[in-house]
Amino acid sequence: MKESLRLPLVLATVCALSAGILTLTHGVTSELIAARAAEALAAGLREVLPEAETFHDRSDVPAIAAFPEIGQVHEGRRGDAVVGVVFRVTTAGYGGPVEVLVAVDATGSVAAVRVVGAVRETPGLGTRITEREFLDQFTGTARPPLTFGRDVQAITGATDSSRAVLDAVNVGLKAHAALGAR
Amino acid sequence: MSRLRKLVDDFRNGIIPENPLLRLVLGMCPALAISTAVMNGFWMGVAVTFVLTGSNLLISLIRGLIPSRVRIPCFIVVIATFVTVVDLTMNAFLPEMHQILGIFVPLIVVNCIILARAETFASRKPALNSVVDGLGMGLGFTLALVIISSIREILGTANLVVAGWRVFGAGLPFNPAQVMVMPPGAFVTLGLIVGALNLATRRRSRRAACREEARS
Repeated sequence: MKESLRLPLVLATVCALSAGILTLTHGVTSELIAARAAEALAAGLREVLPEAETFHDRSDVPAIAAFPEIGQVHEGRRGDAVVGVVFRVTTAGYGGPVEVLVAVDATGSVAAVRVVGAVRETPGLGTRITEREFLDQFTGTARPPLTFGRDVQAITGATDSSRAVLDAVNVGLKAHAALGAR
Repeated sequence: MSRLRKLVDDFRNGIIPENPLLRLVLGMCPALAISTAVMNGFWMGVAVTFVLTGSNLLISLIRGLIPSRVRIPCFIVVIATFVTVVDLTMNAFLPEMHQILGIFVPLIVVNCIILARAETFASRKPALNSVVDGLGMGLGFTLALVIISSIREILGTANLVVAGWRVFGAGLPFNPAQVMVMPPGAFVTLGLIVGALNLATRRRSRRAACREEARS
């Protein structure tokens, strides 16, 4: 009887102690984590669409719902004019999800492409999708679906990783067209 | 003096004699998966060292209060707490490394090195010894990971990136063997290191035995 009371009591005390430590840590880190994520996103947006002065979150536009790969949509404006739209697209790479920022300018062609967040692709092969030499090939392309060999060259030995970026750009271009057709 | 000697022994134990990775062959899953680049190996080692030292200290402090029938759940809760602390802290201060290590940070909870040290050491020894044991084991794990991941990164990418700095500039003058940064490379590297270490220890103990014989 005494034992059956003592065991849960000890366990509960240990759990309460643990909860206390975690609450403290969460309090210290949560704001930092949120601030870093926002900062990283803002820096990424500025990099892919430097012409824009302000960015407006348009992620909840209904037309975007048809593209499950798209996480966020940010419209870049200069004054009142829309200079481009940046899509944050997540596609499947070789080692896990690949997150890509695709900026499409007002004329409907790709302004810039960047791979953001962690790259879990094979080091030395798949990780080369972050290199400008590969990404800059997409600049100026316009009509989806883009294909390897015709529009851009894939990285040798990293077909799946390259395809993740290609898919993301295709999704971005299609989504931009859908936004325009609205 | 003998207490100090004991502390030093507890510390050194984890580095070579009972190196968790190379001698006990524990914690293989994160070690094989993330040892593709030296920085990944280093930070994984730091994370494990922190969890190991923290959980060893706390478990040693409360060891008199925990009934043996619920000790395992208590240990797991303590370990999970420290792992979550590491996870959140890394996410806040080292966001990129946090994303690279990904699922392997939360998985430290089930890393057998930590539960093994809690069960066989921290729950039986004083707090100071337990902290020293955690530091020694953690250092041994980190060293082993850094060695394995440097070898894999150098052979697999012909370069070594330390804190964003390319050690070999434009790269070493050979064709990188990509297999080294893929899963088979992990097994090959680990196997060769474990083998070499076993050979060295066996030679040493044989020599010591010979000396003993000559003396008698």
